[in-house]
Amino acid sequence: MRNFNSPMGALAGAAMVIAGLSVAAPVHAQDAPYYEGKTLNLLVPFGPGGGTDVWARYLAEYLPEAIEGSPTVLVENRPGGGSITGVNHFAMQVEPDGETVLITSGSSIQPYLLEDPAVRYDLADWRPVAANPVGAIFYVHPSTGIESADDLGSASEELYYGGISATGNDLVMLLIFDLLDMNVQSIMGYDGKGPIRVAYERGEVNTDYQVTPAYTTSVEPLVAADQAVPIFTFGIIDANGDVVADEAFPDLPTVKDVYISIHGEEPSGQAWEAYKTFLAAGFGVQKIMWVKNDTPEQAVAALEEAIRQIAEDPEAIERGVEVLGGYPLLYGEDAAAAARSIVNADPEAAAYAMSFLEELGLR
Amino acid sequence: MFSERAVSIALTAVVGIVLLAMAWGAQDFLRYSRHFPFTFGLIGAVLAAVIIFRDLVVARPPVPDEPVGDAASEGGHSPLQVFAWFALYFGLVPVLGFPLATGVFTVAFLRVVAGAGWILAIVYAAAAMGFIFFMGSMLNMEWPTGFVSRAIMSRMG
Amino acid sequence: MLDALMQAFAGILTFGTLLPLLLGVVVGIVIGVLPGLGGVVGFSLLLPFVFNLEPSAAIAMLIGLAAVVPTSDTFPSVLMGIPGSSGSQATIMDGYPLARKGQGARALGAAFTASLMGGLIGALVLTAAIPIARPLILMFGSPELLMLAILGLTMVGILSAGNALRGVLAGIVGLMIGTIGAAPSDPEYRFTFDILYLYDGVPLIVVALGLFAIPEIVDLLASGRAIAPEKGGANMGQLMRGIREGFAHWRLVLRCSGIGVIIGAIPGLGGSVVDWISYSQAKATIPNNHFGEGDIRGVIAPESSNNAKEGGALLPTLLFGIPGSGSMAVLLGGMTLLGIQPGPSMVTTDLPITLTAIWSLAIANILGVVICIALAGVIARLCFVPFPMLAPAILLVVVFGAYQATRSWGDWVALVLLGILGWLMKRYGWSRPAILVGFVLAPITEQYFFISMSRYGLEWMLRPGVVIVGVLILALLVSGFLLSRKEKKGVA
Repeated sequence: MRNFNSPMGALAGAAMVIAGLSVAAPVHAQDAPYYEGKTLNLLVPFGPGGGTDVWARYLAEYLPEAIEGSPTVLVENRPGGGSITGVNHFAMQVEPDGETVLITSGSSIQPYLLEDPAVRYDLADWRPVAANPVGAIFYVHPSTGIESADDLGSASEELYYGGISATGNDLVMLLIFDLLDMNVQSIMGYDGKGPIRVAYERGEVNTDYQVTPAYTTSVEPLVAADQAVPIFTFGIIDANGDVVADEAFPDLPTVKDVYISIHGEEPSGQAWEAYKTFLAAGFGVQKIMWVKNDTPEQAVAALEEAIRQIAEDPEAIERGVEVLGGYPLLYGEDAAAAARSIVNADPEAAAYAMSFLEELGLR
Repeated sequence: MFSERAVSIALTAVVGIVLLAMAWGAQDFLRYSRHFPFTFGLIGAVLAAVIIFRDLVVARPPVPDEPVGDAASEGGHSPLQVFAWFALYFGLVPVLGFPLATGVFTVAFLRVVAGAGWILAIVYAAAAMGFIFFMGSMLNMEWPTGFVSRAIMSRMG
Repeated sequence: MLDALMQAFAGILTFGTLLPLLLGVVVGIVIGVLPGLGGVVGFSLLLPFVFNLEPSAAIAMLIGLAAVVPTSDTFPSVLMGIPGSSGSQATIMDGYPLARKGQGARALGAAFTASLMGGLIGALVLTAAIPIARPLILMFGSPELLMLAILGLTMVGILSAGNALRGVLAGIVGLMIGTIGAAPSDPEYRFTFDILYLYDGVPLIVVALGLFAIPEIVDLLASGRAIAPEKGGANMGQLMRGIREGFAHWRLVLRCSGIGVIIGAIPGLGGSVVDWISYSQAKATIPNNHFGEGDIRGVIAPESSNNAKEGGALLPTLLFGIPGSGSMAVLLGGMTLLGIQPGPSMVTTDLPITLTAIWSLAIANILGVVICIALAGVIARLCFVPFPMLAPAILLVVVFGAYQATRSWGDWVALVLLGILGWLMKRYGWSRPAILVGFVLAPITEQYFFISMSRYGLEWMLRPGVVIVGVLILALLVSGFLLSRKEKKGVA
């Protein structure tokens, strides 16, 4: 039986549960597929309906067919502690048998990098089997007088930026303001990126960034109506850990390009390292599917192969445009490379970010 | 035992002290975060003091906020006994696990308090456990298993 | 527009759409009846189906669920004094006293009628407002939202008339419980004592169940009798009487539905205070009321507004992608799975989806009420069963509902502690609704206060919207004060 995928299927499943029938797991031959007769749990450390949950449910739809042995795939929500609860649970309670995999977003990575005392996990103990990058675009209101990255220092009105939490994805934006010597008043405490975009539309803030899918549907109409001007992209982290141009917006400069034109030199130093680390955590590998290091190779291979199939399945790509944000699903070495900048994050980069927050009075 | 009035005043006092402690603790929070709990904690503590003063001096009995007239002792159970049943239930969970604890509690409660027959109690308990398993499987939930259940499970392989 | 509306109607009347809609309605009714399980749980039950349905059918199913939860959650609120979900807490105030007088069926009849009309008004307003809603929603900046939160907080005063000091203190207790967890404006965890469970704050449903369900179960068990010791007349007759009363108070229904739609449509307030606001304003403005003692109007007011709210909440959800209530947040997730990105396109290229949503809302409200009325006669009889027989089942559902909130032991510890607090407060005349209102509005008030201050300084107080809401707050307070004084004179 597949992941309940029709009303009838669910009713049948429910009936089976009521009747107390359970399908006995078949006895494995040595060469039987690892996942045959098993259940794969996708542990999501958030409640249902959020971005990470939706990403997991998207994969849950394709995994049963893609994994050899066709396991039942279920999404298990374990919200709490700003996602730390669920991730701690994975670290401490879950067997490394590959039957439970963890799905994280930046919210689980940033506290790890910033050494939140509640964090009881070490990303070095795990390996990514799938990852999904996303791009982000910074834009301003025309009333600021800023028409391109060259005008960033000469705004005609005070710049306001609305954020959710300085220790979340907004940290990347704050680091950018610092790197580019921008004078912006940041207001934290909004409920989410959607409400911030509304605050932008009504003039409460006049600068903002949105990730690619939200930008395409909600900001591009504003650009067309002369209500917004795109200025730069955050850039994408490549396999070497460098910031490169965002393929979705080839005409826009990246933060790196803007830095070079302002300071006349390649960015370097702790501030830049911190930027790259937190860019990777919040955007570069925004969503990651993890298994523990000592998971049987058979299981890891089966999962990686499944992700490869999904990543190349035209139907899955077509249906996943909104979920994946228009960027490819990474697997194998690509996923590992993308995750490297956070797993092997330079402790000094994180320390820089912490002292940076302290200077802002935010720590 | 204590008079109702004394307990009522004690409750207000405890609430006031907790609010004061929270206001005190709030002073260590970051820039914006401290104002709100500090201010309201302090106002609450002052308010509690005023209410206690009024209760002591004016001696007006507190007015219930809803017209529930049943005297607690009428039915033969004191609220403390009821809380003891709750304690039994939650105490059973870490031992037997949530589903089994619910079953045992249900049978015991129905037999002792509701005076139900064995058959009714057992069918009732089975339905209760069925509810847990059904909802749990629909929502893909896990619950505390309890060491007895774990022992049985491991014995069964 | 009218043409497209008819087309969408024809589209929904197909087997492929009606069946998922019905499934959503049935799940919604079950979820609503079970205390502690609300729209979010229902959505997580239905999300697995979403992927394999046509977008319009999936939307119909999800809306069907959201539409009926505030209808069926009336059952536990009225019959047992236990909030069926976070949207129908205020229904307890008068519905439950009616049930204890043996008039549960009457209260249910009136509630369902109010729900039906509220839901349909919500759908109607949604249809009319779709073209003009964007600028209207954009009028509400953080300062205006702050004022609306304060308006909600003044309800504490109205809800605790007669024992104002203790009521305000209870409201502050709620506010302070609401500050537990991550602070809105700083990266700071407050009053968490390094307990991970407290990082996200105590879940609303655990607070509601602890304050209302546990004390009720304790006192009913202590009394050892049925919820309604005496019958108040034939059930069917009462049900019909309630339905008639629901229609007779159509003006109240209209007013409260309006409040529901507006508050639902304003993103950022959250759906869980709608019922309290409409209950309190009814209490503050209706002369000669017996609110709190089993006044049927105290049932009609919150019930019409909480169904209407869902219609309003669809506006920001569809047009801006920002959810106006908890269940709308999950609806958004479902839409992403379907590949529908909410935004301006919902009134242009994706208009058919929007219209399907509207029709689903209307049809689901009708279906939900029909099913609930059919069930009401039978379920209302539970009130006459000796409570010790019911207690294990009710306790189980409450315990399960609380555990569902974050699936950790912390939910149970919080439930028991809040249960003891609630029981003491009930016994010594503290207003528990005041705690809930304070709890829900604390984070919102704080958040918008600091956003307003850091963006506008003190100038935010001069914005026209702020002044208008300020005048409204004063008017309600004065009216409530005058009414309660008049009442006291009348009694004396």
